[in-house]
Amino acid sequence: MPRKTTIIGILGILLYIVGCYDGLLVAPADRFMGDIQRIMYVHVPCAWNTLVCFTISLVAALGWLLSGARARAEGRAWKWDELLEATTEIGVVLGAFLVVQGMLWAKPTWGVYWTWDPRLTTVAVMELMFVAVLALRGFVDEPVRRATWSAVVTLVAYVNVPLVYFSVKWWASLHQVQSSPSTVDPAMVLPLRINAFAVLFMSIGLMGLRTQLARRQRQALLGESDSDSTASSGGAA
Amino acid sequence: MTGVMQGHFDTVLWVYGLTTAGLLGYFATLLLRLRASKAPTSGQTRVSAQNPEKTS
Repeated sequence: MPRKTTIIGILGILLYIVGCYDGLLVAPADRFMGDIQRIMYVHVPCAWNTLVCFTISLVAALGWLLSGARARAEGRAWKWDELLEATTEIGVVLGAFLVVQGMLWAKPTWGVYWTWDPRLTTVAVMELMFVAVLALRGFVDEPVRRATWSAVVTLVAYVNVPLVYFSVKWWASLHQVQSSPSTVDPAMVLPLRINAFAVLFMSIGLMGLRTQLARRQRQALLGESDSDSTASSGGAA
Repeated sequence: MTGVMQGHFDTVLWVYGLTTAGLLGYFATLLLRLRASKAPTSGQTRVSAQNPEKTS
């Protein structure tokens, strides 16, 4: 069990309890939206951390693709592939929460659960593209080929991430511009900030577990030991 | 009519509840998958520790 990530994950759970309490019961209701605005304290942290996870996936994809033959032969490059698998899956999970939260917020405020607004559309495309990365990994058994192909598809999928961020600025959107400590009332900053770090820390804790799972699955596939993770298939790259 | 939306606290509770349940569910699923994934060499590691000369 990776200790550092476990401790950070537990810290995230504690922060999440405090953040939800603050967001539900302490922070004031919004002047116009009333209590429904309290969804922001879980919706925005999920949005930020979805983007963080996919950005780490991009870094991991580049890490794998740029790793030299020696790093692959020695097995050091596998950490990138494990990280990519972990952060992509966690990003997809957070992205699913994001969409459901947004739909439940949209119904009372916009009158519909879903509309093909630029922000919603780009988020849906982003989510589907990273689901495609996971699906691709499920279809390819050979570990080196799987790592390379999914890294390339991750690069393609990431092109949409800046579009998600800037969609509310570039196009006329029903969705409000980004909520951040600089754009919300000071009384609402604390629960937003607490939950942002809570979801980040919980994601790090989950990444520790998920990378461990990815490593075990690859080792089981290749019949390797921990000390012998030199990818018998690494030479096949 | 002031334009202020009233109510909907139940919707907020649903959102918080679903998010928390989703996080817990994913965490539990990960633990179960980790448990199911058998570390292939745990036995080898023990043998190596007892017989260092056999460690490659």
